[in-house]
Amino acid sequence: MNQPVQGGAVVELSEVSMYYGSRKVTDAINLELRRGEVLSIVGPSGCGKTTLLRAVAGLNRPGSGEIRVDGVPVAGAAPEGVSMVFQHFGLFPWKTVEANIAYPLVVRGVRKKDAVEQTRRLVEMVGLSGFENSYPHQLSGGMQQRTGLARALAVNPRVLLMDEPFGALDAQTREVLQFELLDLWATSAVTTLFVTHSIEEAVLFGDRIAVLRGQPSSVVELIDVNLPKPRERSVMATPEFARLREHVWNLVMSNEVPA
Amino acid sequence: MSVTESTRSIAVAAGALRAPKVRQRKVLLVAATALLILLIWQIASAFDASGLVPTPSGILLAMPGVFTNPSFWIDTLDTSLAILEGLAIGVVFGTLIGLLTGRVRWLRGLTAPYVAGLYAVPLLALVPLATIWLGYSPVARLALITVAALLPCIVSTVDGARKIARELEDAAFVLHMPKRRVLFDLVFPATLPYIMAGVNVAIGRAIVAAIAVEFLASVPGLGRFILINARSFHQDASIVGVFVLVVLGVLGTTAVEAARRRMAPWHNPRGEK
Repeated sequence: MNQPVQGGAVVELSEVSMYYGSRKVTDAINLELRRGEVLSIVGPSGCGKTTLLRAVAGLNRPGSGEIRVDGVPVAGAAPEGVSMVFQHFGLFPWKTVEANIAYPLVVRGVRKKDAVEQTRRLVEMVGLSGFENSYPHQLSGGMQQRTGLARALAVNPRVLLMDEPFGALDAQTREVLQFELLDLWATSAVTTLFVTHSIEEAVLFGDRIAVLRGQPSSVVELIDVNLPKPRERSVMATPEFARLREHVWNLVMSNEVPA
Repeated sequence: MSVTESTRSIAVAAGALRAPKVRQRKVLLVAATALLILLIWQIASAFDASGLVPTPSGILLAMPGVFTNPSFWIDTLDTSLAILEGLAIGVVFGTLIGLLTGRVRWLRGLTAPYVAGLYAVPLLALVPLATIWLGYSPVARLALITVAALLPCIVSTVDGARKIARELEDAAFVLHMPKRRVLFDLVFPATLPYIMAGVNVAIGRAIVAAIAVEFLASVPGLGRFILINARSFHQDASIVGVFVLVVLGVLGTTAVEAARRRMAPWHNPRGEK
């Protein structure tokens, strides 16, 4: 667990409007992620949370507005040091666990010896020792997402983008991974944009929560989460957690167009 | 982690215990079915007074004569080599064309109508033209085998290259996969199962093409062996030739399936074993 602690980058979204074809999904969003902060984004389906996250990765271009990572505008390419964890893991099925994790290092021309060493450390960190040579299809969903997380961390990211990272897992595995992620953050905080459907997850992980709503959507409220850090499972039993969850729930659910 | 490990080892152990039994039963079933078919065939042929229907016993008796005939082996080798050669050319170019047109939209738009049209044309219709252009020769045969193998490879590869999961494309982008490596690190491996499926279809079509040209253009080979024997009332010898074709086809598809398991072990549609 000697992951070097990195503060991460500052991420700014200014006046960002995203479009789906000609339909405007988000309307002039302004958000700033502070160094090392976890910002959760919640909102009803189709409110553009994932679209915003993809824009930070350079995968989608904003129709107007600008996104900056440490002051440098995101344009056309994935910014260096921005890692992403995918809902369905995004692993290369033809690569073993080890090869998947090592891939970003190989691409960056890291010396073979160092890459092997770094990969071994990451495998250990996410608890996959003994499965280095397994292919993703031989692993459970939880183990696949551990691999995805290790791959995202391989480059010592400045920014971590998590798009429903536990959305495809069963309830029990999800809880296990949630608390492992909390553990991980206790030792190495990195600026994180966390998109989720789960209001509990948003409160559990977020330093702040941005609630998106409307068509096109905008940030209806930016909530400070004043729960102790490092977070532990026990915070879920506190009255403050319950209050925040209710508050966010009301914001997300009110005035929603019936599904 | 220890829980998942132990469940895994239990599952593996159970699979190892079950697998040979299942396989044994399968082999037995296949053998029994084959015997039953041969038996019905033999009995049914007893009602044929003309003597023009080949019988299992007749075929068996014809085998020594056919298998000791050097010209049969020359014909078989001739046809097999032509099929292999045409397949090799067709698969390599079909895959390359498929990968390229699958990824480059305007190229696909340009070529798709011709590929679809040629794919739908019965190959038999092209034999007369091929013989006019290339003569009643092995060259015409090779050309037709190549075209026959090329098209299913293009069609299947294009299909695969277009169906690469968006998440993998996204992952490649975010992980900074260099443009020059996208073909070999993403497109080719992701498309490999489709390429193999194309090759499987190509094998069947290549055999059909070889035999069709040999029939229609009288090019020496296994096809002509079958035709000549059938026309001179040596039905049993003719059927032996057909069996050799069956064996060639089955060997080919089995080899491709084995290669797929080896090269694309992750691809397991619907959890088949």
